[in-house]
Amino acid sequence: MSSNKIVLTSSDGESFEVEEVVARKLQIVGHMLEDDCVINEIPLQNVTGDILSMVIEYCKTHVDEEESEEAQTKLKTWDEEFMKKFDIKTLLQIILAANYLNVKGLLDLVSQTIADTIKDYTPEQIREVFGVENDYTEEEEAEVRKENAWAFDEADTPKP
Amino acid sequence: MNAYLSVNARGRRILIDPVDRISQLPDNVLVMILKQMITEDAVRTSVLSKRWKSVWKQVPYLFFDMRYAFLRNMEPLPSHSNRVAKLITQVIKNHNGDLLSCIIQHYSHQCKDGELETWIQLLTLQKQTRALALSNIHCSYGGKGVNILRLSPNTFSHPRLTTLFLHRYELKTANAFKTCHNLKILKLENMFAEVNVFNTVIASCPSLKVLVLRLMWYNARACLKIHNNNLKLLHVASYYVHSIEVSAPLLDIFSMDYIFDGEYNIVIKSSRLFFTKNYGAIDAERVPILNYNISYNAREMENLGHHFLVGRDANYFWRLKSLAVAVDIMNTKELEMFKQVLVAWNGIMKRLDIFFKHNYVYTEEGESSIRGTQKKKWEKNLFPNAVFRVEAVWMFNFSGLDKKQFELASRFITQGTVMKKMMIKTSSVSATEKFYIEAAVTKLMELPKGNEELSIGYF
Repeated sequence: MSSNKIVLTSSDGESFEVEEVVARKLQIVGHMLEDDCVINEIPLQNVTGDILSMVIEYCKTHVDEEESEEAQTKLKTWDEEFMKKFDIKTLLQIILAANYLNVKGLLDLVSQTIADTIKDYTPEQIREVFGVENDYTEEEEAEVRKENAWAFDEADTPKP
Repeated sequence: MNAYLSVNARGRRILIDPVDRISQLPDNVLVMILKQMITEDAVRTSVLSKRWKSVWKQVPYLFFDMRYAFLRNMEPLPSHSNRVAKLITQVIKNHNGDLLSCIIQHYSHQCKDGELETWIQLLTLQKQTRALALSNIHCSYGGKGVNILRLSPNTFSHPRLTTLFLHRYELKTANAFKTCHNLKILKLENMFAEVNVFNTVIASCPSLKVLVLRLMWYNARACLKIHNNNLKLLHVASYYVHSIEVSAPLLDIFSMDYIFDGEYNIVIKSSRLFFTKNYGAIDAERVPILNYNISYNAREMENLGHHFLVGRDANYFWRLKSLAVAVDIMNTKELEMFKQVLVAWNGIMKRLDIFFKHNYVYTEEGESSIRGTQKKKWEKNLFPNAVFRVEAVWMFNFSGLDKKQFELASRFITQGTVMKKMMIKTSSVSATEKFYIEAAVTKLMELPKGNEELSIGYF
């Protein structure tokens, strides 16, 4: 494969020059390249430069789909360390970007990271950590709990 | 508003964001997140706010395990399980439908109180679930007949239902399976019935591509019959079997795990399973063996059997001790599939039989495509799984002139993949072929061995 360079431009005008193989990890770019192969500059309207740079960092690391077990373990460790760098606000921005740019691996990775955070918490804690405002009335909330009582059966009592 | 610091459950300091960004994510992204959790945690998010009330209902998987449901003080198991089962029914009803899969692990009481049938009806008729796994949690008390699966006729014949796993039930009739043309994958584990009931079940599912059986039947002298024109993968495990009859022209992945009761009789009719002729009696060593004709499977578009084998659902894998494959390693797809099987293999394999195929006549184009990046890919992908180990490798149809086969054998030696013995077949080949094989083997013997004890020989 040729080492063609592609320039990706973020919504706030920041430009990143990357190899074509890296850019193709963003499926949205991959589709554009298939439609017309002479493009070498691609504007990405829904993502800011600071977030795009992180997505590119992920894609560069994952560009070689090494299959050896050693390489896989190394990548996994890298993924974990990579995720530790971000606070929740940034993680949510990255997941939105990964969804828009269609980077499957990153989407899975961030989903897993956020899911791991959520499942440790009670609903009250989730609201606090993620800033979710409870707009249910007391009756409505009780109704929802009752409707899905199976899931709350255990949560309502302290675990042994 | 300022962000502030808090301490999460693991004691890690995290930055709390006062803006509710997560609720602003589109539904598909929230579903992605909820998909990574167990169903209970996903359902629990419904209480966060109105935005979250119905997000979990779009997650295409449901998993219920009654063992983890909270047991109220002094509540006896029957009334507990009855209460929890009703709560599960409610959650299934609340789901928005279009379920890819649903797993339910329940107590034997639900076989009796009709709740199990309610679930199946709800899931197949209303939610159009594609894959259904039902497992009866073993109870040590209750006596005979507590695990009987009582279902109406045609229960499993909904056209959208393609995969069915049943675990620990007793079948009195095959009625629930009446006209199951829809089922592609069927796994019956630890199931009890008269052998005729099993035979009727199997005969009622003519579209099956994958069939996994771990059966126990009362009348040991009877014959288990598997006749199917679509079957690609078959695994049979049983105790004290007298007779098994398999007729499946497309079958290319086959394994058995069994204890025979004295005299026994196995008849397998499948043109693709090369081993039955080449190896003599397949039960010679009574080692659970997996036979896989990769060369056939690779040519098909769908490879359902292969995906099943290397996926998580082939949970019988760990009991198998040896593998026999027919593979053309010049073909990248076949090589990749071969590798996936070895990667999926758990623990040390006792014996690996490789029957080298030469299916492809390489044209000019074919030759050139294997050069350059393709060639590099071939080399990189060739058994990089250094963890895989096998005690003995037996090679059939090994060609002394084929560089790829030589490369494969030499990696087996230098990486320490083969622990004790590598055998190459030279009997019943022509003198010229034998000459080339011996020349190649001489070179193999000179290689630095990953395992000092490894011996290389002919048979």
